[in-house]
Amino acid sequence: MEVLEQNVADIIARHKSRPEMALVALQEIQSTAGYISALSRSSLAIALGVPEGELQGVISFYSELRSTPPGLHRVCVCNGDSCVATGSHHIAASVETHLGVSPSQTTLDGQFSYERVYCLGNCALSPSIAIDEEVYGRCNPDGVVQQLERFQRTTDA
Amino acid sequence: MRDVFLSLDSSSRSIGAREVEAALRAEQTRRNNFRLVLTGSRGAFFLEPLVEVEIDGARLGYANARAEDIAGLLDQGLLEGKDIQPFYIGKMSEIPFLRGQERITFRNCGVIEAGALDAYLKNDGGIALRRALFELDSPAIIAEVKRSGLRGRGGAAFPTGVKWQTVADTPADEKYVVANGDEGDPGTYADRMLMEGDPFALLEGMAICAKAVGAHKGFIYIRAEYPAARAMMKHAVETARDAGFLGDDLLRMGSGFAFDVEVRSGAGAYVCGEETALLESLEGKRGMVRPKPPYPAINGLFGRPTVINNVTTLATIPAILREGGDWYAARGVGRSKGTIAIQLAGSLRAPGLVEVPFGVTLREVINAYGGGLPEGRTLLAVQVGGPLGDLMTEDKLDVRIDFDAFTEIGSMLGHGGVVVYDDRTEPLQLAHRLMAYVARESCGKCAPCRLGSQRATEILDSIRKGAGKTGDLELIDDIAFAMRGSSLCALGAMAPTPVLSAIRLFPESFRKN
Repeated sequence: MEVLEQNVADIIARHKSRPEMALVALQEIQSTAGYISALSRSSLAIALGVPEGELQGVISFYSELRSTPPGLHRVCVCNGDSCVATGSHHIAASVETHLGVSPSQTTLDGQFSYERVYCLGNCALSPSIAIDEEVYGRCNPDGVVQQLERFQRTTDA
Repeated sequence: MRDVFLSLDSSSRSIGAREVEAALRAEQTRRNNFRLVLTGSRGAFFLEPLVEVEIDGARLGYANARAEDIAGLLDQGLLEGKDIQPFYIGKMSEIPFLRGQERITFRNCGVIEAGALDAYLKNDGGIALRRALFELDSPAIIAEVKRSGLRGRGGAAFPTGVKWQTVADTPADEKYVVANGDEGDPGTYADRMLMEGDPFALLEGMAICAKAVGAHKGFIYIRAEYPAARAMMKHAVETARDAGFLGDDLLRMGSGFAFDVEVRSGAGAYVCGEETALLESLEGKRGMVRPKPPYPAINGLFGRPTVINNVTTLATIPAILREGGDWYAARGVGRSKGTIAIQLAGSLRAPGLVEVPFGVTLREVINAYGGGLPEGRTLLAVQVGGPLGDLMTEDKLDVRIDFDAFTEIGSMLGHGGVVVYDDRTEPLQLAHRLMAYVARESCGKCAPCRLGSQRATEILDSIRKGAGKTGDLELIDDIAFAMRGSSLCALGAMAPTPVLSAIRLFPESFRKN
C-alpha cells in the first residue's frame, strides 16, 4: 500500500484548511517528491477542504505539475519565437534522436524527462536548451548531444 | 585591491560564465590581489562572458572570455587595464552598444553586485522610498507618478498613475500590490534581467506603490521557467526584511508603515501573464481569466483592490520618485514618456537589451544596436510585442518606438520584445506554430479562443501537409473574427493577428495544395 512520505505529509498538514494555498502546496509536494501521486492529491484535497476533482483540475491546468515520476534529469528544448527563428527544430530533432523520446516522455532508463518549453528567456543567445535548472545558449545539434552525454557520464559514475 | 566584475545572469551562465567564475575564484585564492563582484547582465550578451575591472572609477571590459583565458588575462595585466587582444574592449561606457542608451530602469543591471543591499543603497537606492515615506503623502506620490507619464511596460501600456489612483480611491480592509513577473511572451527577457540583476529596485518600487495606495502585502509572481530570478528575489526579500527595507516599520525610522512581500512561482501557463489569470493563480486556482470589469484595481486579489503592475514598470518607480516625474517625462515622444527596454532576439548579429528613450525608429534599434542580420541572411519579418503581435516587413521598420505610432500602423509595441525572422523561416510554418501555441495555452474560458485556435491550427496544418482546400483561408478569417470579437483577454482576441498578417504579406506561402 502506498504510504505518504513524512515530508509530504508535513506539507499537507501545513496548508490545512487553506484552499488558496492549493497551488503552492502542489508545487511544494512536487519539489519534495518529484511528482504528485494520487495519494498525495487525495490527502491534500481532504486537508484543504476542496473536492479532489477541483485539485486535479489545477494539476492538469499547469504544464509544470506532473502526476507521474520524472526522470533523473529534465531536458527542455526551447520552442520560443527567437529559438525557432534561429533553428531550434534542429536542436529538438537532435535531442529526440539521441534520447529516443518524444516531447513529454521519459527515457526508458529513467535518466531524462524531455519537454519542449515556450521560452526560457534566453532569447539573445538562441537557440537554447535547459538541463535541470541550468540554461545552455547558442546551441547546435552536435553540442547538445555532447552536453547530454556529459550528464549521462556523471550519472553513470 | 581592485574590483573585478562578472555577470552571472542566467543568460551569461548559458554560455560559460559559471566556468569563468570558477576560474576567477581559483586565481583569486592563488593571487589574492582582487575582489570578485558578481553582477547581473548589462544586456550586451554578444560580449559575454564579460569580465570587467574598475580602475579610477572607469569600468574596462574584456569580452568573450572563457575559463581557460582567465589565468592568461591576469598574467598579462587585466588588473592594470592592459589592452589585451582579442578581449579588451576599452571603457564600457564608451562601447557603441551602451553609449547611445539611456539607462534608467536598468542602470544597476550588470553594474552593481546583484542581490547586495549595501551596493544598491550606495548607488542611490532607498532615496525614493525615504521620500515616499517621510516627505510625500499618498496623493503626492501618485501625482508624481502621473507626471512621469509612465505607462505599463507589460504590454498594455495603461497609465500607471491612473491605476494607482483607482486603488487608492477604493476603500477596503485590505489591498495588495502584485508584481507580474510572468514574462511569458517568447522573445522577452527584461523582467528576468531586472529580477536577477537589480532585485531591490523592484522591492523599492513595490514598497512605494504600497504606501501610495495603502497596501501592506505584496506578491511577486515569477514564471516557473525562471528559477534563477526566483532564487534571487527570495534572497532579496529576506535581505530586505533583515535590513528593515521590508517589514513592520519600513526603514526602521519611525515611518510606522508596514509592507511585506511574498515570492510565488508560476507553474507553466502562458495565460497567467494576463492579470486576472495571474490573480486566479495566486488564489491557488486554475489560471482562468476573469471578465473585466470589474478591474483588479477595484476587485482584484481575494476580491480586494489590487495594483498589478509589470516588474519593469515597478522597478522604474524608484528613479521617478528620486529624480521627479518631470525629469522622467522629459524623455520620449507624445504619450510615450521616458525610456523603454527593447529586447532584441532572433536572427541578429548582436541581440541584447537596449534601453532608449521612446522616439528612435525600429530600424535604428535593429541595425545600430542589434547589428543587423547575420551575413548572407535577408529579412522575412519582424515581430514586436510577443507572439500576438503582427508581422512587420521591411517597409514598416521606420516606425518610431512609441505606443501610439505602432497602433497607428496597425501594429503593437507591447513590452518591446523584438524577434527578427530571416529567410530561413517559412511564413506558413510560422503561422501554424503561433496558432498551435495559442491552442496549447488557451485557458479555455472563452469558446472562440478554445475551439477557434484549435480549428485554425488544424486548417493550417492541413495546408502545411498539402491537403488544403478551397475556402480554408476564408474560414480562418471567420474564426479570427469570432476570436477577436468575443474573447475576454488578449490571448484570444489577438491570437489571429500574426496569422492574418502572414497570410496577407506572404500569400504564396499559403497556397500549397
